[in-house]
Amino acid sequence: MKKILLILTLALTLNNCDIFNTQFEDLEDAVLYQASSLTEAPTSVDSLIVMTWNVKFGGARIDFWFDCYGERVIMTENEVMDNIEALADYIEEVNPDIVLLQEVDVNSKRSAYIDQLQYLLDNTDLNYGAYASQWKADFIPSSGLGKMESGNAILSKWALTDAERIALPLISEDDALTQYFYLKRNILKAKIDLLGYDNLWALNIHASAYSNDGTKKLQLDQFKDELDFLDSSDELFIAGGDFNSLPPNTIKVNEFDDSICEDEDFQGDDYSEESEWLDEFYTDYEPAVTLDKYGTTEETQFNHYSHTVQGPPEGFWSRKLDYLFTNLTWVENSDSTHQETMDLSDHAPLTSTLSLEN
Amino acid sequence: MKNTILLLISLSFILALSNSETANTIPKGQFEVGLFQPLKYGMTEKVELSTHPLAFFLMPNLTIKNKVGDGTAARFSIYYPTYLLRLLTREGSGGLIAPDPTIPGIPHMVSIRQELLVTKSFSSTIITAKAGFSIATKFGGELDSRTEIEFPTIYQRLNVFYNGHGFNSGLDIRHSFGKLDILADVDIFYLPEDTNTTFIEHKSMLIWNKSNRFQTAVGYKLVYGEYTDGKDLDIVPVFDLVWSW
Repeated sequence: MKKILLILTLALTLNNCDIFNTQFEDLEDAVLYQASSLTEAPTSVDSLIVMTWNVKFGGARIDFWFDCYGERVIMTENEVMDNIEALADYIEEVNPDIVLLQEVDVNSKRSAYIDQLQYLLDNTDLNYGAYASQWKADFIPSSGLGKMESGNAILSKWALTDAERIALPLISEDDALTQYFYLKRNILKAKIDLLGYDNLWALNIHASAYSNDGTKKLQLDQFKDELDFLDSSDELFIAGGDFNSLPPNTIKVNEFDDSICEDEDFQGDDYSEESEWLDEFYTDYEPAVTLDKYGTTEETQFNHYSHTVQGPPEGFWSRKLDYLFTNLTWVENSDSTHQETMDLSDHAPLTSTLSLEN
Repeated sequence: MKNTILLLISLSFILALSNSETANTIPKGQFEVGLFQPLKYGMTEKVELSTHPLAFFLMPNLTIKNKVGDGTAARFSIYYPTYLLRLLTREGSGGLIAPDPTIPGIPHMVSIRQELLVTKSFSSTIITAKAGFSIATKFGGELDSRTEIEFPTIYQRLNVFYNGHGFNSGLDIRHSFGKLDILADVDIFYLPEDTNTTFIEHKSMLIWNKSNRFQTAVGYKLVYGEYTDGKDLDIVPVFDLVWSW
């Protein structure tokens, strides 16, 4: 009888912990990936092509319900395969050495349970991956979302070690149920095992898009602190991602034509109070796109816009949300915001070439 | 709140937390109902009718158990889940099926399950074995696989509507210590065709028989099986209150 009572107590206790498996520790090991077939990586390099790209879980330009342009929720397997194949083809064409991805689905009902990170590794020259979940739930009882496993990833031609998922603050104004089921932002950090370098790190962030309580600022500050810590420890880093924030001096900061959501939960497009949030990133580190190049007019800034909710043909990029920074140096004028990728995601990839000559 | 109640009603029905399944029927004229169990009625000494009253108007259902011999019964159940599943196709909380415009609406569909139950009693212990098969048919459309609800206990019970047929078997053991009973059971669901997998459920419960008219039960249910996205083991707490009159 005692054993039975013990089993029952254990069962009930376990169940009360985290029945939908949505929770994370503040610091966890990231999940490591490897391509099914490795491509020989260069043993000596004097520069690295670095890319950051929010790939919208392989949703390309399908109009989903949260964009307020459509009502789609669950893609078919064919849709996902077509979209992820196009992403892989583009990455292969650019041939980056290091890629920071946001919104990669690895086991989600909305994307037909396809492991997009594994697919990209298997269909590009990138060999290794590290993954940190941003949205995880065995079952989300809302809008038919079901199982969700989506997050940030670092892909590299060289092995990744010491990969960590560092939790970022949750949006404090969300109720407990929303906090339990909704996104858990994080910093993904991994060391790149590049010959001749034992202190080169890659860091990836996807900050909150929708928050009015200052959570996004806290997340960006924590990211900056992480970079400062590495820099003060004589470590080298490539850092980037989808900051969901605009560069200093941006002219167009609100009333974007592509923002049509009336639900205030999905209105994250007024950046007028955030004009200084990224200042220290620019003053302390090397941006892939300098403020000089970004300019002070809409005409010059337009060339670096990397996001729009509205797809073609009516829509075009309306703001810059995606960044790359380093405490090394970028090869001058090597940056490119790949605005020709309108059909592939709601973000354009940003690339730049990191100089390793010194 | 409305959504939550709807979700709970549907879950409570589909979870089907039957405290004890035997070939025995309740006495003629007697009623029995539980918080999460069907309303049972002894129509004759050999025939028992049951339905899940909370879910009935959302998902009409009826079960007839007919005692066909000493310790042997045939059980026949019919379900019409269309209206419930259409209600669960919604945006926001409580939406278990995506309201995606590329997913065709839930068609009219009916499932029928036929089972054989055999019960043997040994002083304070009752052992029941069961085996059955289900068939389902749809009218006026197909069921998109994206409407599957990959949730423990629900997935395997609705699978018959996707595959057209399915099989189940199980074993219940109930031992009485006077007012306190222990129940342990195993249920196996064979999901054929495209799914081609097996789900195993195990439930253990402590049942306190306060009187002939009221009992309460608490325990757990383990569910193991392969969903669309892979194998998973889940544990679900179970409890119930049962009244008879």
